[in-house]
Amino acid sequence: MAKRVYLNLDLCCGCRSCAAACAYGHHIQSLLGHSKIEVQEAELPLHCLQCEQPACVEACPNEAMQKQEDGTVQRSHFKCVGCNSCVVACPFGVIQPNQDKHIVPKCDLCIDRLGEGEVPRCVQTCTSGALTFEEVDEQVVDESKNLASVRMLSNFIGRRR
Amino acid sequence: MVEKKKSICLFCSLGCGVAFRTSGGHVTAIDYDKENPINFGSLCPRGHYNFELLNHPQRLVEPQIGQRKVSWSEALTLLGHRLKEFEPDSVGIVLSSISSNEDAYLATKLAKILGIKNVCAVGDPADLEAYQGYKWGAAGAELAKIEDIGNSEALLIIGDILTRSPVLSKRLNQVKYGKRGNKIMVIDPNKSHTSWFATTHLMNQPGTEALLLAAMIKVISEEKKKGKIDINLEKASKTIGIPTEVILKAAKDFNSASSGTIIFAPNTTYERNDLISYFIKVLAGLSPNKKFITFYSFGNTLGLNIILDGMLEDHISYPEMLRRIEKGQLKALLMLGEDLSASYPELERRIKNLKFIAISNYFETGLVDEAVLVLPLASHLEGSLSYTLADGSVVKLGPVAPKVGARSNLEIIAALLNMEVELEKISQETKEALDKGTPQEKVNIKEKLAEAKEIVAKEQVPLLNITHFGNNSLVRNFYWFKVNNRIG
Repeated sequence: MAKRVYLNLDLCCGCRSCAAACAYGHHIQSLLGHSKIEVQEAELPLHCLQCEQPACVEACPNEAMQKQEDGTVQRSHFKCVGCNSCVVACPFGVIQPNQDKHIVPKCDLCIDRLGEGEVPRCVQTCTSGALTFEEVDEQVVDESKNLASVRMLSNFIGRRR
Repeated sequence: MVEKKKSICLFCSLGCGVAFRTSGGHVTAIDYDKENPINFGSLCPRGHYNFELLNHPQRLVEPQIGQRKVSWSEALTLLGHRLKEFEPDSVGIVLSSISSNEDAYLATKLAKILGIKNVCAVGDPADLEAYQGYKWGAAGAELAKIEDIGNSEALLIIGDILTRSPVLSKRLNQVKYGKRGNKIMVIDPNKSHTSWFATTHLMNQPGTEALLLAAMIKVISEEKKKGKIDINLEKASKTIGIPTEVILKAAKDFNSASSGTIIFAPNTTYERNDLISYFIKVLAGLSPNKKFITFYSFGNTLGLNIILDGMLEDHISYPEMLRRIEKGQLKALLMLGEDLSASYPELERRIKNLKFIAISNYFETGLVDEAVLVLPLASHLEGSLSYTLADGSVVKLGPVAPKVGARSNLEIIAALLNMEVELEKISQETKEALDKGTPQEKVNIKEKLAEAKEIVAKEQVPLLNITHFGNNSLVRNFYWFKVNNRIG
């Protein structure tokens, strides 16, 4: 079974190490986005979900985005022209534009490391153990891994100021 | 042939393991050291700077005077001559806070020979203030090891430790989700990365952290019937901004836990870092089976200060050094590993007016003048020297990459002293200097508690960015720092 990156919001401390590791591993182009929940309050990684029916693939005018046999969506370095169509198409806001490089950053699950039997860089570097690399199990969906959990909500609603 | 070489990150005093992939002597990529017992392969954004430090395009490779490139022998001869030209009282030596223990030992030797007393270790001013409090003796206090944090039942955290050392979050989670009833109490005026994990967030008025700790000392010592402490809880709670019963409950929870650790992250926004640093020692000594630890923002703050205090008793403090530069009392300055003019832009004009400046630095500096000698510095990843971490353990690093044109502070000072670099002998002597330990000063706890009573609340200070790194010139050159702080 294929493996995917999961985020446990209960553990994430918002330290941005995953994004730093991603940038240093991909020639200073961070493929991993970051979302801000209330400015200055929380930052969480936006990792690519490798969708079943990826909108980015349909939106791409140059067939640069393609779904592979193993279920991952990969971006061709040569075909991509940086038109940002996939940035608009992505329903999760995971793909973020990069104007410096004229090529759209897209998670490749660190295929170079997977070949060596290692886990992706963001998972390896995660300081709190929030990001995990686990097998996809369609029968059991642990909602706490993908939904905002009680800790997050209580932190934002219950505190003063 | 790809090799994996391991080292330690010194960008905070936690001391995480880092690995590098090298091929043909060049470091090609950063890797993760999964066997390291401190971090198990995790790295924070700052940990990734280690890789950039080795390959940075602006790294210096040749000594230069003004804009003229010179050879090493010429540069060192000039440095030796110029340092002797000035009166010892008008020469200052500053040591960067990621210098090694050996560097500090030799620097004190140089200062003794030349009769220089203006020697200090630089760093975050809050760290150095906290170290002053760390020197004050408290009965029964024990410094915690990193493993103790994860095995604690109660954690008392002062400050935003996860901004400084995010790698600790794994251990915080271990406490939080390990056993039912475990407590994490965070004292911080702001909502922070650390307060997310808190079971109790003591949101005090800014600047009143020391008073809150004093109140907790009062509660615990009265519970144990260990003397009476002259603090009015209700009056204090009004200043702190936390109800009395919450303070009472927090203190009792902490005291009743079977094991616990107090973690302190010094911060410039705190009123009295020295008092906080002392009070956590008192608390750890007062309560059974509790330990304390302070995390500094740079790797070797503890080791440098222990050696400077032990070897050079009448050396000056960092704020005093800044004051002397500002007043114009100094004529020459030897900056080992830190460019003060970049860290303190307001001092730049003063520093430019000095008659002679020698800087050993990783990167190009803004100071380009005939009176400025710039020496390329080898980083901690390119030498094999020893460093003291937050928990008092001493680590010895091996070289990851060869030095390209650069030399370590140790070699520079040894050349000035006209001696051969006998690393083993110097290491042995440094170890002896370290083994003496931190000098403990006797203080009267009642006086300190009385000082805490005079604390009043300050204005609210906004949250700091995750990549906050003190006022240091080193990190401003790094990519990730610029991205997060929108510089350049």
